[in-house]
Amino acid sequence: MSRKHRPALSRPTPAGTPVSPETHARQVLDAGLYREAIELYKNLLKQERRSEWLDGLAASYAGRAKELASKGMLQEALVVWRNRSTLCGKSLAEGPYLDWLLRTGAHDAALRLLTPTGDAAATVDADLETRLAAVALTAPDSATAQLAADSPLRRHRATAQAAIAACCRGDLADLDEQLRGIPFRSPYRDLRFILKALLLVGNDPAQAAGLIARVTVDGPFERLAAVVRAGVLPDRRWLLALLDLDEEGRHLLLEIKGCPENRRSLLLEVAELARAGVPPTPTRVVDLLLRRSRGLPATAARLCRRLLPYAEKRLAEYQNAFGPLGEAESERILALAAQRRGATNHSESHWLRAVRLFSTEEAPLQAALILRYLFDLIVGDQDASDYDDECTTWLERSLELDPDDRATHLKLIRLHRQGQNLKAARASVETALARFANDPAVLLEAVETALAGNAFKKAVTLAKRLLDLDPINSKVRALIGRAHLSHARKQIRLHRPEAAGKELDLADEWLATAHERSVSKLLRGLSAADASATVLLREAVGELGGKLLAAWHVLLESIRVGSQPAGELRRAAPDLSGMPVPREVLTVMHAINALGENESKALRTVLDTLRAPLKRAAAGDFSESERISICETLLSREERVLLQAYADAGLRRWPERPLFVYLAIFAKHGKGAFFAMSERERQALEGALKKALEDGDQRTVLRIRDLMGPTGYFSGEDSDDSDDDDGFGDFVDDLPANPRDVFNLLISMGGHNEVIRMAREVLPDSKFRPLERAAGGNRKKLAEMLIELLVESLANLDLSSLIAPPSGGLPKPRPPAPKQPVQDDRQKGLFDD
Amino acid sequence: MIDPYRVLGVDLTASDETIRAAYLAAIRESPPERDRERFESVRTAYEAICNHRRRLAHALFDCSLPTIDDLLSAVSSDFVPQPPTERRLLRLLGAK
Repeated sequence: MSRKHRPALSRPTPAGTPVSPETHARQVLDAGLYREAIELYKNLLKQERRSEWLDGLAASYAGRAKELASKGMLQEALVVWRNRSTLCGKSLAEGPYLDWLLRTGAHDAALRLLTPTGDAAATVDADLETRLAAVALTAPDSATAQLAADSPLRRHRATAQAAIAACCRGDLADLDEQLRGIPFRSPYRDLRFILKALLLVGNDPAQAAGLIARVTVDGPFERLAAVVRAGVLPDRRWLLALLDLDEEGRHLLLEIKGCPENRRSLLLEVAELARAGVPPTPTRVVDLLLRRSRGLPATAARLCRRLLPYAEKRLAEYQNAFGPLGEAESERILALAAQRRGATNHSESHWLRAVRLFSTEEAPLQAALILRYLFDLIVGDQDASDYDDECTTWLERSLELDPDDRATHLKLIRLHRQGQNLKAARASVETALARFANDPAVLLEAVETALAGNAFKKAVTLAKRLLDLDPINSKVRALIGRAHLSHARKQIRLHRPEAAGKELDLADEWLATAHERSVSKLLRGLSAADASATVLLREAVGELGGKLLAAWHVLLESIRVGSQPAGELRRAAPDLSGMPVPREVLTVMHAINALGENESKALRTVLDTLRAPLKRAAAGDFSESERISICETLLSREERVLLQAYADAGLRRWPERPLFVYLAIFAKHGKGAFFAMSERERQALEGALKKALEDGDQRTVLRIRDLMGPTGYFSGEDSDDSDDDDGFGDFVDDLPANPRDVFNLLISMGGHNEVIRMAREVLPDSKFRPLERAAGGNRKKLAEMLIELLVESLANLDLSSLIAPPSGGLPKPRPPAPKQPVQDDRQKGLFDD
Repeated sequence: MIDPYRVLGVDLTASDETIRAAYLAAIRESPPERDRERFESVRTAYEAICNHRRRLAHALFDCSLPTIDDLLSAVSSDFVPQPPTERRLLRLLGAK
């Protein structure tokens, strides 16, 4: 024990306050000054052997011993505890003495606590026996011979040892037999659950967990129980628990889990990774597996292979460690690695090489899957017509390799149809139908393809086949009705009223809404010019409201069937004199939205007649959202006259709404507003821009910015210098002479996308596509590469011919067109059509 | 990456039927109202490997990030549980 001189201690009692030695000793003890307290109580006991002073001395010794034990000085603590027992007449076995003995490995001494001569003052109780059970079990026979013959520790020891032996042989039956020999009150009782659970950890962890849950924590076999508790945990949790075990415990757990000796350090490394609490990086995993690849199972090689796209440089190392990779597999890994780096062009070439190799390796399905994956990678959800035909051929080739993929058939049909390549769409439909003759989805695509090609009879035949399979398909029923209507229009156009009548009869069988049936009647009226047809025409007009909406249908249908719209309108005689009600205007706008782009000429003709009543209706009582919806429809159709009427009325009603400011100015000046608007309008736009920014209306912000032109060009300071009426002409005159500067100016005005858009117009696919791939999706890089190409191409040309070409060639730089609108929540749902 | 084969407890060569059986057993064991997270992972795993085409696509294109469980499973797939050796067990109990 250390006898180092302690520094002077502050006294628990203030100086000058007289206290008795007994009180002083108590105060020192309470203050935790055990060494001093021991001396004080010893002095007191020299005067008189009082029991309370003995207790004080014992408490001082106990405090001092625990103090030493807490510093790891167990041997010194044991000596102090023995002094306590000798001088104060206390039992050795009480308190932490036994734990300290076991921790110092003094098992014999611990067992002697149980013998009558070991400690005369000790009461041998069941608790002590339980605490010594593990010691008794592993102690030599000679050590346990000193125990009393009737001691449970001695009586059940052989059975417990036999149970351990059975457990270690994996003999469950014998284990059960032996465990039955250990009574419920035996100090070895915990072994009944622990040993059984130990055997079940690997094969039935749930049952093992149930058994180990019945063992109290900190029992005599806690080290063994802790191993079982760790072993029954699922997934990575057992690894984390492994780290909490001591060296022997770890070895035992890895042993019962079946971990080979040479993989234990790898497991511990994985456990350390798990302890970090964050998922390991792929490169770290690859590194770990390659570093310790010897003897690893195939699953480890598989994981490593799957992570190689993150560590493509380790490809050779992988092959050294786990064996060679197939050529196609290497290409797959390189393709994914390139894709991960964003090098789309490299990725594409690796994937295509993999396709070739898989095809020759007689793995056509893999090749087909890669081609489809590549299509999705390059084209994705974008419009396939923006890409060259090669992308579409990937899908076609994939179907040659794997013709059973219905989804790809459908995708290909839609792609051809959307790209207006109806011949290819029909061929794809035929291929798909040959394989999926009775598939509703394929039949529906066939119907739509037939309709797109005006093959109405074929469409109806296919639709009826589809209805046989799916009788309640309302979409198909509507499609059949519309197909008959379209066919009827065709017959009217060819002056075959009887054939048209038959088609309309058939259409009426399928048309579900009164509105559609009225249109059918209207077509009957248009199919002839006699009195009965006129009656039908007027009946239809009446059913359609007799006013603006009816006039819309008469005009549109007469154009569709090749009649004179003005004459037919006079014959139908709708009433266009009053102001149309808002509901009618909204219905007409809905109908405008439903019109295809191919009918824009017809729309223009119809609006030429209806412009006046629609303009009158602009003053009507529309809600804000209705008015915005009308304006957006008119904007999308570039109907600026009507747009101005509705936008101006909206601006008068909601002057604070930035969108109406934008719409009104756009309607007045169009895309050239940048050059044409007045100072007052510019200020109004700036105010609207500020308000839109405050409102968080990003869509309007972008639109206004586009309309106002490039930053600084139209700034307030220079506004006096600009010529509102002829701004664009001056601008062109001021263009720099160097072509590169022209393009840079173009970038400053319209951004990189404007350069790319322009280049797409003038460059053939064969020149544009390789650059697009080389840019790997980087628009800025692509714009720069295109400029280089264009500058080279134009080096020998006269720049003035570039700026104002008579026809074809490079277009004039122009103010940026309105960008695609950005979704703004407040305008969401207004433009469904 | 959450290895779908590990989630469903099937091996790489398992047939469609075996995988479906494992999937049904797993969702019976962890219905959504009891363990939503586990249910979702089981369903995702099943969708990734439910048929031959999907299994091939998973093998070709999946390069999602690994978890510790994936790593542990990969390096311990050949472990065969063993009974403890008596010497080690007794040493753990304190034998010298």
